[in-house]
Amino acid sequence: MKRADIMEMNVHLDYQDDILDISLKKKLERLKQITSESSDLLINEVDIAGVKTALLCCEGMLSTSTVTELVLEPLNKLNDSGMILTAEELMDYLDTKKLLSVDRPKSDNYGDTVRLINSGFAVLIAEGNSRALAFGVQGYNTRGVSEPTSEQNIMGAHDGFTETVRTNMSLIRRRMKTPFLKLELFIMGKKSHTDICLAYMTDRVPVKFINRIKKSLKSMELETILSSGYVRPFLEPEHSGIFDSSGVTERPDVLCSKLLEGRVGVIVDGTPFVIFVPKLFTENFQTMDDYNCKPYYATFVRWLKYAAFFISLLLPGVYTAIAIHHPAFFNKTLLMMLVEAEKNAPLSLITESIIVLLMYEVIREAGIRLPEAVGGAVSIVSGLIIGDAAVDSGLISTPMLTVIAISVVSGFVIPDLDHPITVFRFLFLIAGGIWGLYGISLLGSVLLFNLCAADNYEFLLLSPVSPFKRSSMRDIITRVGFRKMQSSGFTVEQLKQR
Amino acid sequence: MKLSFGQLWAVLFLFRAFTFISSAADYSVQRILGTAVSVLIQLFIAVPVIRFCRKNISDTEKFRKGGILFALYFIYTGMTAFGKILDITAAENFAVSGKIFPVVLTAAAVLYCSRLGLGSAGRAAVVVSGIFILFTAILVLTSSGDIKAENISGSYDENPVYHYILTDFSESTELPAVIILSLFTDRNREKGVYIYFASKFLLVSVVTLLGAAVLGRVSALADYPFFELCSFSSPLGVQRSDALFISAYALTAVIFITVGIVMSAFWLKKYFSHAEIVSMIFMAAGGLVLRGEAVYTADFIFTAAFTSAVVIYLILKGKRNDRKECCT
Repeated sequence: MKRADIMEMNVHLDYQDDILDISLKKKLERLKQITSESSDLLINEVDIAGVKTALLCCEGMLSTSTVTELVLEPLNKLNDSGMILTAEELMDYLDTKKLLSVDRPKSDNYGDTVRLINSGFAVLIAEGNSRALAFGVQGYNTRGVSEPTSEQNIMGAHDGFTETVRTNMSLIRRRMKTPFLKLELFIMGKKSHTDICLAYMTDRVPVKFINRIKKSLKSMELETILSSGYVRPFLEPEHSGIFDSSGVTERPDVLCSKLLEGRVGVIVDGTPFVIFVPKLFTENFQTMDDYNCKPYYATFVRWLKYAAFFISLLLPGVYTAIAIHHPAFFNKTLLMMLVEAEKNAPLSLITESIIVLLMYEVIREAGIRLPEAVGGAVSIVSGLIIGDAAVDSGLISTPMLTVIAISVVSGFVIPDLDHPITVFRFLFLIAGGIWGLYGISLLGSVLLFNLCAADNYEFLLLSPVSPFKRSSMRDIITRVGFRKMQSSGFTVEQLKQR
Repeated sequence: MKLSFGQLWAVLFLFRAFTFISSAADYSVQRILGTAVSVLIQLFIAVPVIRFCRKNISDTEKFRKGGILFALYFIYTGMTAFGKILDITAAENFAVSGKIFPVVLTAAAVLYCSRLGLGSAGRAAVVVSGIFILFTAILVLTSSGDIKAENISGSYDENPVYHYILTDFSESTELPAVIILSLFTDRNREKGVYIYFASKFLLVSVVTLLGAAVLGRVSALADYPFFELCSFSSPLGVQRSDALFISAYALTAVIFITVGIVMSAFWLKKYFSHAEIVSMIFMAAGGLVLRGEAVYTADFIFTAAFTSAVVIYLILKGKRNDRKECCT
């Protein structure tokens, strides 16, 4: 790359803190240079009240009708009034005497000015003044509020977060009208200048905790932030454990319940998945629907989920371990049935189970990535051809297929734990197949220790189970009724490691 | 590195559970009586020392020098654990029997677990002790159908009660750990210790009584009566569930050895930068060399020797602290 080209690039890179020039011509030249004369930068030069000005905006980012009604018409009226002002007087007049929009940030440097233009603001600059006035007239296309795709509920609300941070802020505010709810906006990402909003209850969250989260966010040196997955690693410990210590949700009602418990929400512009910290392991088994039905049913479902977790994680491994190393565990009838099924199978039990599990993972991934039109073919191919034909041909035994099917279906009950279950299911399968129940127990103890060691901002992942806190267990072992819950005043701060 | 009293109890309970499962002693009424006397003796040794330490020793960092004694004790317990794992995996036909393989696998697991610290071990011990109690309850409920009152009698080998007092004392290699770990416990250390002794006696006496009633004479003939008892339990109509207790055994073994590595490394850090690895190597190598046989006969001597050494050291240390405070 030539030195001259590099010098030119450096000019672009060093614009952030440069103060706006007084001269309108120089300002426009500089802005064109910074944006490389991008085609979507619209510059409208016009004299207003005797002052040379320019209205800048980004095509497609603002609403034509809004900018016409709120900004252009009032400015034209000002011109028609015949007033003659200096640049300073004009800017002061528009800033303090006219209310052209509800969102009116100001800027005195090129960095903020470019960011405001690219965020959909209409920005006014003038000859003889180093200020820029911005008017909030955004009108870019956004997806409307719709039902979340990843978290289904029967009796809960059916609205979900969208990709727009301000819409998401309003969804939270609508549910929590308390003045203690604070929404703090930041800008992160050197190139993307992504809006990130911290949401928390000022009467529930200690200032120290907020400061630590802000420090974590500020430590991000990413160029772009395109989804919550970019931010989450910075909100978790550097050597993070197997299980997530921060959560994501697409549901405003879920986030509000977390905020009430003293957690902090991080809303990232461009993604409908809102992060909350800290997250406890037991929360993976809780859903909003638990609080919309009777406690006895919610308790039943919760214990079903606990059982499903162990079944999903351990069943293939335990089955393989017992079938290979501890067959005396089966009663006579079951044992003879398994012998009959396996005697003609050409592959060893471990190989068979690994192949079936791998095929399931491939089919699942294909089902996610395929376009909708072709997706139906996945179920036909996988179900009929692979499942049925493989069993009929004797390549795979029916008991093995049944065990794997039960295991994967159980995993569907707890989608939050899908990733660790998927990987560790394989590891338990290998450990059980080679080393029997002893191997499974050793791997299980490693997993348990990892869970017990994991903490995030001094909140232990496995609390309130270990360290045990009896008062908090009532929403773990059972789903306590609202009459008892209303006076508890539970916050996650009570579970903090001392 | 701190434990709550509940975590202290859980760790100590699992220590005893591991040695109890690994025990070759038969089940009889004499054993229950012998255990009761032994527990009382241990209580009278441990509690006064713990109270003395609570008043006179506040900072565990201060005896890093003399802590080499404690490190040696924990390495010794780890060696015996590895030796017992080798014996039991071979005798009970685990899938990992062999000369080295069980040790290598267990060593890899405990090395990872020990890196996570005493706090994690304490928290994991609480969960594992819950699992162990659940499995024991299943054992009691599902074996109860095979109870025969006429099986309950004195020792089939005609061993007197004092034999079982010594047996329980030998198996209680965790006795010095009761004192040492209480130094790392914040509050209510005596509460944790009392609950531990009570639960230890309960575990031994309930399983011994059940074993005596179900196994009868067989308990004197079996290599490891606990596993023999498990083979009589048939929950949910499955043929036998001793495989289930392999899991319980493995979990208790991991806690036992992990805590040993963490504690020995705490004092060895002064001499070795990777103290956990050094401790684990000593334990595994010792276990491979010693195996079970030589260790069992020496258990009583080592338990008594270490307990005495720990008690004497702590009393002297406490009195020195007392004199220093008087002089200042």
